[in-house]
Amino acid sequence: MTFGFSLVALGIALLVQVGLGRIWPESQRYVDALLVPVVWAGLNGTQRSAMFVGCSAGLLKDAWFVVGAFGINGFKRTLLGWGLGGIAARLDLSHPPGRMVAGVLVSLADSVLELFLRGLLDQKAAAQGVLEVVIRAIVTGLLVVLTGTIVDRVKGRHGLSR
Amino acid sequence: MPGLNTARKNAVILVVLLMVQLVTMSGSVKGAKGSTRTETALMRLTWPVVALARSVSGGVSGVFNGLRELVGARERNQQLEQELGLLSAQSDRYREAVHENERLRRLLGMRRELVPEAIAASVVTSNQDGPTKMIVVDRGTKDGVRPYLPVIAWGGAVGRVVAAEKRHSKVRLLIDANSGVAALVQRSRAQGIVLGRAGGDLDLLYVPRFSDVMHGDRVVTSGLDGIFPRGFGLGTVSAITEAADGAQTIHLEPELDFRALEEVMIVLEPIAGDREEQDGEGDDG
Repeated sequence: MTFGFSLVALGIALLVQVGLGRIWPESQRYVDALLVPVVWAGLNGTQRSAMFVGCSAGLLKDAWFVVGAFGINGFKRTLLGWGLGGIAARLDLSHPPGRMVAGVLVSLADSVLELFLRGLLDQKAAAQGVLEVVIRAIVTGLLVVLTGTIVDRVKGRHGLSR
Repeated sequence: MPGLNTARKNAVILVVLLMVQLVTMSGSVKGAKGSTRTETALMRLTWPVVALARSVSGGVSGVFNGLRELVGARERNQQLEQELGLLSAQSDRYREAVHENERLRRLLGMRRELVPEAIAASVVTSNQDGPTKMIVVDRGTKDGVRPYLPVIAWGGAVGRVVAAEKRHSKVRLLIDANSGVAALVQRSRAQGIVLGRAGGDLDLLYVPRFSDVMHGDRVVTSGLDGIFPRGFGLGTVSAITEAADGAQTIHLEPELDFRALEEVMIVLEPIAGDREEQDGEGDDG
């Protein structure tokens, strides 16, 4: 996963998140497009690139969608990128079921870390329903699978190998 | 052992990144000055992407809305023409009432409240389903926006500016769990403080036990916090519970549909008569 590709992925994720939020505001409850590049970098890049993509994606989320605790998502997603990058180096998760599982688990871990960090910072936060968290995790998993399918097809068309 | 070496280097980078962000985070939580430099830089850097998303989504929404509105436009046109006739008659009566109100205020020697200077702003991004409830609007320091300014919309109070950049500002909505505004019950004038609830609704707290508050009462801003002008709608009483200490907790149904916010007004001038007090607060904070 090159630096340029990471930047493009982050830009697209931000574009999708902002655009979707304006067309269908309720979608923000279930869609976290800025988590997809983190999972993708974790699965397809090095552990270091996953950390940096996680950090950037998190800070973008903090800048445009969070008030009062700038850095909370950056912190979480750096950690998640590092963790997933480490796991993906040992296990082959580059097939659709693996991508789905990775997406779901990273999204669930993101929600748990959010609660923990806000508690640590003594920040009040709206309670997230279990169903909401689960749906968001599944949607993230599906988005990662969809991204994988699209990228694989584009690579196949251009005769590129990973 | 190159693998081990890489893992060790990654661990060092991880610790450094986490430490930097932890410091930024704690500074952001403690600081009342608004946004950090990193946040400002990041927002400026990615503004073109957000602006693009805004225009694309605006176009898509416009097409959908146009199609929806086309259906039944004729019937609505006829209906609106009838309403216009009625409203123009009403408008004459209201004009008279305004003049009468002015005269009575002068007679009573009441302070005439100045209409606050405000600017319109469009909502750029909105996050109301995450742990915090906020919007980003397309007005910033170049338009005179600064932290603490109140934000209102047609029908009620929206929130408060918490960070202002050159071209955009972050607004913490009233329904955020960290928001608060001085309020009163419009009918009985009972005072309290409206706080955002973790679930995204509003509570009216610190109302004395024997205050006259009823289900369905409208709650508005009292202006006593020196931030919000008086009289902007906050919500309607939907439930009342009494705490052990005698104070009532009153649950409010928010007046505004925060999800439907597209345009808001940022009040640039402090409340008339409270200007000096507010300036003093700003210096402290």
